[in-house]
Amino acid sequence: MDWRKNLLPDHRASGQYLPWVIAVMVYLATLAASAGLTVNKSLGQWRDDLTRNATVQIASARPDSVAQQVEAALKVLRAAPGVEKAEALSRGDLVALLEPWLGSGNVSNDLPMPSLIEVTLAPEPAVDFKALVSKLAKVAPDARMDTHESWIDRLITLARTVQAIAIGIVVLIALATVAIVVFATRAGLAADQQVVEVLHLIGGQDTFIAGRFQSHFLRLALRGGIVGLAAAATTIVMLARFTSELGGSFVPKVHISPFEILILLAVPLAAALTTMITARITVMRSLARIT
Amino acid sequence: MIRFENVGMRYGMGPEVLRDINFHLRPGSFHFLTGPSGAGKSSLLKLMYLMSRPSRGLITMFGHNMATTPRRKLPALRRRIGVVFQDFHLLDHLSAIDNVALPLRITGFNDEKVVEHAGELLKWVGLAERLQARPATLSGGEKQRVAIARAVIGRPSLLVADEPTGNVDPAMGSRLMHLFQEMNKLGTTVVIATHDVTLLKDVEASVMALENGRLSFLSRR
Ligand SMILES: Nc1ncnc2c1ncn2[C@@H]1O[C@H](COP(=O)(O)OP(=O)(O)O)[C@@H](O)[C@H]1O
Ligand SMILES: [Mg+2]
Repeated sequence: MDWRKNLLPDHRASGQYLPWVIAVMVYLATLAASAGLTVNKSLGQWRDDLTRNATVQIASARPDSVAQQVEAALKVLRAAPGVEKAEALSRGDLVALLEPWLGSGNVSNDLPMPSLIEVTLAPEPAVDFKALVSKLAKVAPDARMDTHESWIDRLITLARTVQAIAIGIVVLIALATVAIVVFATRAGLAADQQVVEVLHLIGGQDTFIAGRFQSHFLRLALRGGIVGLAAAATTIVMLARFTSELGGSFVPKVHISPFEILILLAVPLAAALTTMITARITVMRSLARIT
Repeated sequence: MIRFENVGMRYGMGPEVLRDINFHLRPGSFHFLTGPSGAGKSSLLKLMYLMSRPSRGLITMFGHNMATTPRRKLPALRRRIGVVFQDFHLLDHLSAIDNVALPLRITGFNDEKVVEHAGELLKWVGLAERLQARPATLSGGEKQRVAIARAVIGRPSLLVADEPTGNVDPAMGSRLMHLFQEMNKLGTTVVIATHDVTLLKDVEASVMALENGRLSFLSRR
């Protein structure tokens, strides 16, 4: 048994609640970090889905010209470089799209509907939308092309906001942890004032005395960090099950890669390191004030 | 080796509790510091064991001017000073032997040897049966002997004791005085503060007296 381990008495003042506080902090920080990671990944997925699709809508006051415009548009689209596929949606397809809103059987046969062409884009080469739109305008004056661009912009903004919030939460948690550890260390110093004084007077270096507090708080923080990480892992696994059951393509899939596991493992380690360094600095500063 | 020149000391903004203290302790000398309670004996010792700083005057310890010695050099100097504190300052959560071992342990000595040495010292002060006892379970006199063992374990150049025989019976008192004399013969400079003048008659030593913060010499050696 290393004598250094027992040099500080059990910290009644600071030892009991600190692991729990660290556990809560690590839990929240890990969830925030994984939310940020999930959004980042979903963003990439959404962007791929949306940029590979475009829609051309043809609605005309003269329904008899629509069919002919659709034919012409399809020709232009299929000839354009970068377009992989262009298919007109049948009336049946459109009814199927509307039914979730209107209810099945409620779409009457004479409900006027635009004609839609679904365009699938090839990864390469990039489509020159400007040229394509002007070509379309010549052969199908009532065609409107929708490239989902504003959607993508808005999604990116949303994702970036969520990420900034996640980072902000992690930073706030780190700051709160530092403040709590400073208070806990000061409480520990006050509780062990006699021990500190004796160690100081028999010639203990500041670094030696700080080292005892430092390793004590490191142990507490690691204990709390493991509990927090375990709780966070449980939550994430439950969420992952839940989202994969939902299975919708737009619900972000919680799927954790090895790299992300490293990042999440780094959260309790960072908390432990922060705790240790904070305790050390706090003790060194307070020792510097005595002779 | 230890020199005080025109030293004055006050606590905070209070009055001077030590005034114009001048003395020089040669290596290997033996000194008593007497005076009534409140005269400033403990305060003078605190300056010697580097717990407090003087408010004026010059203190030289082992050739180092204390006014200019940087703080980071003080631990090394403190390790050359053994202190028996008036209220012992034992660590309550450590056993007697762990308390005694502490000064050597923090200097990084081989732990087995340290424990062995601490055990021998405790036997020497008559505590062979109490090695693992916590200070709370020890009598005043036993605590005092643990404190003395801790003060001498590092073979200090200077041994400072504040009323070290205050809690023991006369037989143990003279035994402890004998221990201090042994240390002194090995070359340690000894300074003992006491208001118990009966201690003075058995030992050949210089006697300094404090009265109202002023120092006078009753006998010089
Ligand atoms: N920590 C302190 N703060 C303020 N005054 C103190 C402190 N310690 C001692 N004093 C005062 O200094 C004077 C000398 O005390 P002390 O050195 O303990 O004397 P002695 O050891 O001879 O009894 C006393 O008047 C005492 O009240
Ligand atoms: Mg005193």
